Amino acid sequence: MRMLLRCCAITSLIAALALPCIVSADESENYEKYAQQAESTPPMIPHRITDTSNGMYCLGCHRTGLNGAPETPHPERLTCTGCHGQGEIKEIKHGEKGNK
Amino acid sequence: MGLSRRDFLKATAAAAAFAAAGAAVLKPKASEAAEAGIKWDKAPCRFCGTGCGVLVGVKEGKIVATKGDPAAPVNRGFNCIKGYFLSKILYGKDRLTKPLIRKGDKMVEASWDEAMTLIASKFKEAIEKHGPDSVAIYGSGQWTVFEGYAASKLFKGGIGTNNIEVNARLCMASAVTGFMTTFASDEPMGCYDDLDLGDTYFLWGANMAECHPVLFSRLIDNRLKNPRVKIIDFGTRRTRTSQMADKYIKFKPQTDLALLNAIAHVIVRDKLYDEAFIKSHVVFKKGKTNIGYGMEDKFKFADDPKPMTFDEYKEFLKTYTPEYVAELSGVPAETIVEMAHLYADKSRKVNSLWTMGFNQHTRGTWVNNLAYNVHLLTGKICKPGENPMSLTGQPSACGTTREVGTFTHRLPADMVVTDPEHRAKAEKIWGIPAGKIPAKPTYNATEMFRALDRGDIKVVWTQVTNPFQSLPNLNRYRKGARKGDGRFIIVSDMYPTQSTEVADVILPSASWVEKEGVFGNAERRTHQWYKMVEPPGEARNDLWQIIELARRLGHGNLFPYKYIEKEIWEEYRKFGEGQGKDLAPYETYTKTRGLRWPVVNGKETLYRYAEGHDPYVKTGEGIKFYKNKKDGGKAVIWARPYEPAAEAPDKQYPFWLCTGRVLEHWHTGTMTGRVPELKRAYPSAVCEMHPDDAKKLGIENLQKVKITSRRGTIILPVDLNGRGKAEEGNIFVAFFDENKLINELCIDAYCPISGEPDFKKCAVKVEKV
Repeated sequence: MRMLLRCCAITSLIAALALPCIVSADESENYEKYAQQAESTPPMIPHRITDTSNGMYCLGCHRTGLNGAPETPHPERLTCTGCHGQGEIKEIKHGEKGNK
Repeated sequence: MGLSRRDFLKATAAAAAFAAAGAAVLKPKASEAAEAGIKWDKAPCRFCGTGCGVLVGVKEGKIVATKGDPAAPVNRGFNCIKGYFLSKILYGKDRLTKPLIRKGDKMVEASWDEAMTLIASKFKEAIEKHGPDSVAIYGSGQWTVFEGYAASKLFKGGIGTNNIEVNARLCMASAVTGFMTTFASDEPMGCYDDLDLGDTYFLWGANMAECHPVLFSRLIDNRLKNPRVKIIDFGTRRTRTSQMADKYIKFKPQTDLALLNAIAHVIVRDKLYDEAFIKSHVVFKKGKTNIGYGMEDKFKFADDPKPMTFDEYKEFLKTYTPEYVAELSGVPAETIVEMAHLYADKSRKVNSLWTMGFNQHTRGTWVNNLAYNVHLLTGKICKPGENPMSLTGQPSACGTTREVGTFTHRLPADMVVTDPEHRAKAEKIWGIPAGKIPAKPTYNATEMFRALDRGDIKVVWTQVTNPFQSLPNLNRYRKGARKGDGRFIIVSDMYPTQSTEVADVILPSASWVEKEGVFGNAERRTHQWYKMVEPPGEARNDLWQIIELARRLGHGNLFPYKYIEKEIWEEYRKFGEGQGKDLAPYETYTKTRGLRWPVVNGKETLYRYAEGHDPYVKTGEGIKFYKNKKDGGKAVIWARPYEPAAEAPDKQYPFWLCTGRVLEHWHTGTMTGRVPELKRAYPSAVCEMHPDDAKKLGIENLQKVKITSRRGTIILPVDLNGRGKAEEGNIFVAFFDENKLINELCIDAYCPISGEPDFKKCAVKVEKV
């Protein structure tokens, strides 16, 4: 069942990508619609990170919200530091991983 | 039923991809009220060659927000951290708002009329006294298409000099000459769809995680959905990219030439090449060897291609055994064989990706050729999901500098000044007398600034770039600019920079959505945007500045346009029509998130040279490199040898110095350095070093060191455990920091074929301070 779902999803994706780009008369007027759908600026990281960069490191806390970390709405995105930069470092209550 | 974590991630990913295909990234509960009164419009991002689509929100004449555009096929609603701060880049406190003229040591405010009168007089004076080749313009891969076109038309078609060069000479020139020598036409045959459709990705000296983050995300996404996907990172330092790759293969700088030949050697040795493909689509050639390094002023090189047979090419490859190259490169012989087999694996869709590691290289053209060789030997090219892809650094190095041809030797649409037919075509479209465009190229970028230093060029105008931070061997060229004796430097920019420091006149310029523009990204996607906000103070766009100079020099007739941007576009299109470089009418681009050329009958081309995709390939032809008429529509496999770097480490200078970028900063940091969040995230340059090397020198983490080359010296704190980890005998320094001009240490050696300097390799010593 999972296999079928996966196959369907991948086939649809490939089909969608394979379609040549068609100019839609809609597009020039409705930027507002897309802006409303779009995501806002991702939050900066308020704690030090050991820059191993691999998303699995971040997901250690953020996938399920361990240690008070906010739960990520998108655990399938693994290149975390591509969007989330080092922000102002704030005190974190739980034990930190140590200095960079 | 308990889902394992992996299953959960896979299912979510599949669903997410499914949703992404519908281009609707759902927004969590942000307030609608905050967005009232905001007018949204589309634009490409101001930064890198990825060319993400963004939506720009304007309220009361100011940009108040930007978002990743969910409808943009490039990025599907994502940006990288720089893109997420686009709304701030135009609003640094020290934005230039008035023309400034140097009076002694001070820069004094002036009117536009005063400034342009002075500039025009300097141009006239130099041209009268020393001829048209004593004036020059140095532009940018961040110029819009209109700006590049106008500059080229004025200088080549009006003033009558080929003294137009761009900063793309410092970043993509080797990619261009690689394309031209292998395929007789610039720019990739594939597109970003290959990132989703392939399963094997070789990254060569390219830190995609930091330098093409959104494209890297597409690769990682692909791998999440398809466990077969392998990402191999060939690099001279361990980066964020290495951390996420399936395999990181470190090699000694410069030995990429040998490695690619070794891979070809194994493919030939083990008979893994596609004989039928080679027979139909490939010719073999060799060129000169021992071709020099461009170290002397006025260095000249002309290659002398000679045909080869396949057998002769096999003979050439014999030297590059895995064992020999293992010794040279430090990559184990078994790994070389393994990678060669991976490249040739018939069940895999293989892609190669590269940027500056290959291009900023004294054998940059050769190493680009060698990457194509592997794809041509195996027939893994011009197929969806399977292509070599040269990634572009700047947002419009393709669209402007390469397609419009804003180089000393170029004209639009792959044409060159040395070809009389090409000159005649340009003269006709530009409506100028026959023989007006000079037939001889003058200088590449490095040579142009050498000429300024010597005094052979007197007047240089730079726009949208910062050469007095970004040139190699910087000390020479900064001093050269201030030698007086008739030299006159004009700098058009939005902020004070290292270049405005040496200017005689500074012109405040509009940027990005303060003007109408077109950019062209790495996958041949041409993307238009409208002006959305006014530039600050008296700042004016560079296009206006060029046309204003033209008018004052008596060449106003070259720009008889009313709706300047659109009319320039329609005139420019004529060059590429019917040439496989077709561009659509202007209106088409105003309505789309860009289209990949050639655009014929409104339909974009995803795969060049491929039947069923490229309208220039006839039925039954399969694959045809139709731009290479000289070789009957075949591509060229070049026998290019390994040759050492211009300046390798020795006893006195025992380290390799490599330079490059970091994620948070763009180029010389003039924009990103003024965004507080980006500056805080990465405030200043550091020296990446291997802990063992540091230990031997008695240096601890974050301690200061003095780094010296034969050309300059700098003091930096070391970083022994940061996001990038240097290999032994190597250090790395990013070039964004205007207080730490690492380019003073870099060598101005360049690829003799492309003219592109090698910013990745020179020799330095490191001392405790």
